[in-house]
Amino acid sequence: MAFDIDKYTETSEKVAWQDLDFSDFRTNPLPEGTLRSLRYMCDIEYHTVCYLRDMLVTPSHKDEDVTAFMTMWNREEFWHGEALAAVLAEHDVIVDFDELKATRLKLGWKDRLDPVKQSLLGNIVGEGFIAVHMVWGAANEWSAVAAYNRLADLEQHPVLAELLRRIAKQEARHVAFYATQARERLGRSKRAQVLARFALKNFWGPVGSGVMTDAEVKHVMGHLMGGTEGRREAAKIDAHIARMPGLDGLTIVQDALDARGIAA
Amino acid sequence: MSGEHPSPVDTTPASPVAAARFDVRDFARTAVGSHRESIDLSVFEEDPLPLTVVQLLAYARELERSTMTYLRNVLVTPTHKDARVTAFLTTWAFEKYWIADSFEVVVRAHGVDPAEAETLSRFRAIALEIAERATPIVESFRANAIGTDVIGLHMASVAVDEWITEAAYTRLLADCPHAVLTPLLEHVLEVKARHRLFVDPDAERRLAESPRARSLARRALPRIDWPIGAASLARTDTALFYEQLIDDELARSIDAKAAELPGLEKLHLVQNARRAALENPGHPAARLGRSLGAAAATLAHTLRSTTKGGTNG
Repeated sequence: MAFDIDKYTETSEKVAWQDLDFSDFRTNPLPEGTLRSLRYMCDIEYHTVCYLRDMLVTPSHKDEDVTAFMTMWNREEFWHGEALAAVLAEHDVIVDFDELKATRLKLGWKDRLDPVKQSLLGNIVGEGFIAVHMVWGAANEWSAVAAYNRLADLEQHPVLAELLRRIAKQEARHVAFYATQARERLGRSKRAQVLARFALKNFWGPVGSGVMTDAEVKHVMGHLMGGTEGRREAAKIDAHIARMPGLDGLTIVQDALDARGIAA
Repeated sequence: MSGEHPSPVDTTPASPVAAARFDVRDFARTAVGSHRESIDLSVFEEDPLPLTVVQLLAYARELERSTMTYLRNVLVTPTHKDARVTAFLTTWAFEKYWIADSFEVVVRAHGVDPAEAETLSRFRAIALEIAERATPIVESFRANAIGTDVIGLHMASVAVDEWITEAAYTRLLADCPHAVLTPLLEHVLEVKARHRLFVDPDAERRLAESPRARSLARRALPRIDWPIGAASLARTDTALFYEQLIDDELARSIDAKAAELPGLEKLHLVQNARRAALENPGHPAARLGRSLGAAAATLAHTLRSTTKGGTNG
């Protein structure tokens, strides 16, 4: 199914939470482990602009549909950050821009070289790299949808669940964009398939790895993707990815869990 | 499009106090999205805009739409680390997207495809391609070596760019009163005025605080093809933009405003960009056309002078 970019941009909006009764968190506060996962998700959403940067250095930045999407996507994700920050604020966890800046500053040299590496690589292979960018984005967005829905199920907190479902719904639209683009572009080019397979297999990591500490990545993975139910969700994401042209047999999400010793 | 105009350049000095007051979160919350509903396209059937205005809007659409290319070069530098700046740029890009969209709708209503604004000669397209590929790499190495001082340069470049486009739209507003275009441009100017509330004082503060930021900006700003985005657009269109909307006096007044930013005295950014655009409007064919035109004019003049007795040359 084609993705209607005009319809997407026209209906893109910041996630709403003003109608939800957040004071409920004061009487029914969330447990420590959940706040830790929310904090992780909140930071990742705010850091979307860093991913935007990694993606813009590839030839994708000239495609009008892609840039239209990325403008809206970047803003929607920022608002997910704001919404989650509002939940955290009810628990007296304050996320401010200066602190986010400190996290970004801590990233150091690896981060500095990444866009250069991506640009060199992206420019050598040109157009084909847009496919990699798209399938990479799809994998991340599928993970996000799964994570938000899973947290909503796990926590069973009516206010939190409603907010997370709203966020997941927007993430699902991002999936639609990335997956449509990826399927088309991979379908057209054998070279793109080989490249995407290589990039995902060797370089993909759970959303947030590289920005957050390993301890935090492990906590969130264990919290949301651990156990039988969690593992089932991870397998579903892998199945989505494996259905892409040329990517059959890939199990990157489950491999990432195994590598971190997350129990099934 | 000439005549008497009040200066469209807001000469109010940027205040550092405003920087502290600008609430990025409130700006994000109240971002202005699509303008489509307020544009009554049927009016253009009765009262279409002149073709030149349509061309100018198509050009402006490209300028406003170039945020992702701009962010591409900005975000590979330490600027991306500043969460307050990136929060601003996120909403700024969103609002500019919809400004571009509103111009696109108007241009299309006149049967013109705005994508045609990008008609580069093959040679320039290849040169641009090479430059575009290299820029983020060069920027990344250069700016990461410089450090956070580069944010001052980036904010100053957004500031000057906003002044140019704002002046141009104000001029267009004065020159082309129209039932639909007038309220649209007024609205667009309101949206852009808010960008300046963040950008102007932020640029001023960052330049004032750091001699390195000032020297970096002094060196880098003259290398930009103003307005931002012009580098990847047809030179003939940039020439039209300056010819119709930014006369020398206006260019001078924008430069005077830029000169008020710390360390940016005597740069003549806009005057130089204007001169370059008007002196070299386009590819060799256009230049050939102009020389032929000039030759023909000289010939005609000589002929006239000869027939009249040749005293008024």
